[in-house]
Amino acid sequence: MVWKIYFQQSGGLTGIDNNISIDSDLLVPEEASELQHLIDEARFFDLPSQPEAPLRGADYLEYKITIETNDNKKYSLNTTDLTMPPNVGPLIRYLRQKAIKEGLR
Amino acid sequence: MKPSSSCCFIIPPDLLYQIIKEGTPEQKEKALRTLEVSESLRTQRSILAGIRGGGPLKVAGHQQKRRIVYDAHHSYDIFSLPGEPKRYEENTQDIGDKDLDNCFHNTGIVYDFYKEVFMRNSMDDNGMAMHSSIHFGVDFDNALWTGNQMVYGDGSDLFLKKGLVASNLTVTAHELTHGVTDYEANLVYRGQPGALNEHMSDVFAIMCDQWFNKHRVDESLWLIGKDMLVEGQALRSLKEPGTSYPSDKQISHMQDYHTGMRIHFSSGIPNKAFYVTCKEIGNNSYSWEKAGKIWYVALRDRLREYSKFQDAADITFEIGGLIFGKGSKEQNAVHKGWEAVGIMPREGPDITKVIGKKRKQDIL
Repeated sequence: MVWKIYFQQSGGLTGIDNNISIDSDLLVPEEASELQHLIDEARFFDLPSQPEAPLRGADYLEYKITIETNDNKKYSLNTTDLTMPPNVGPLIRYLRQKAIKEGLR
Repeated sequence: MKPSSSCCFIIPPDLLYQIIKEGTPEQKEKALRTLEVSESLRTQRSILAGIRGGGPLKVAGHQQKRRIVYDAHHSYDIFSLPGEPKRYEENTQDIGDKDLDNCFHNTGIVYDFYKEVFMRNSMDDNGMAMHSSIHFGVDFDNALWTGNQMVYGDGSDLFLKKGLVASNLTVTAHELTHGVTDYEANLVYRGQPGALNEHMSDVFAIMCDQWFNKHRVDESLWLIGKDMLVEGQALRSLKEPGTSYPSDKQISHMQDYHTGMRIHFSSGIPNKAFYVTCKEIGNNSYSWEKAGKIWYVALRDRLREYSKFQDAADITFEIGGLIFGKGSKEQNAVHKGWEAVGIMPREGPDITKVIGKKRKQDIL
């Protein structure tokens, strides 16, 4: 179902950006399966996009995740550490670490 | 001596503190929650009194530091915070979780710094309890201020080193200062006001570090989050913004500033201005004694929600003249500090009346 994922992270204590795009067709089957599981656990396609910035707080990370499916539909989630639904946490952790590793190459 | 409270509750605060000290874990948690509610209500009453225009309501605050560190147990649920309370002010012995104990001690150092140097009693200057949750999320590479409390991840060893986020004094001082800013200038978290918000957190964090280590201006490395990054020497440098790690984008001059710039990058401009001010006052001086006092009065009494870099330059220049005298070495140092980053402080009206309203004698 999932075709392409775009992940952008900004803000936080450091202010450093982390971005990555992942084409699921290019992943090994085990990793594609893990990613699909994290998306399912997040109930990503049922989540409302949350474009509102927090009214209080500082140094929170901001995330934008866009998923394009193979039937050409696009879903986006804008969220932050302060507004993130907790079940999205593991997916964001996966994408963030993937982005960091990509940046280190 | 136990803290006092002016709120009326069925269980007296003294008894609640006794339970926190000697009760079972369940009893401790329930007593803590009760105290939290009483504190929240007291704050709300104070805020409402201000909004209603009746003048500030004199509410008795706590006179001692009150730290509570919680374990978030790797939850990603910000709404479930603070988590399980693990260490209270009354716990004099380390509990064995290095991050948690370090966070507890560092929070105390920051409190002592504000109390001893600026005569400030916690974030709200009214003895507000300092709540910190550690072990947030899994491999979470961040620390933040929620508007109510500090939150720390563990680091991932990919970006931030594990075990250092909650243990770094400058990080704790940075986050706690966001709380101070919320209660004072309340700078909005975007644009130049947002960069000034970040700047204040960096400035008071580095001063706290220098105060704790008794470092003079030329002895300090002027680094925030030293040795925390897997790649790089620190999160930020006030001395040389933009040089802390290979892709550091912080700037240090207005010629590199553009609208929409990330606040953690543009905050390098006022950071550098503060560093140069301290240098101009003297390599052998202590930052918190002169420049720190000027910046503290600016944060407490003059900067407001939408203040910009030029406002900060004008205000600190004026306050420098007020505290140390017009044309003094200190006021000239402030001018040179801002000039070095491409901002010329302007002469303004006499601000004596403005800051005189608010505990002028406390800080001068």
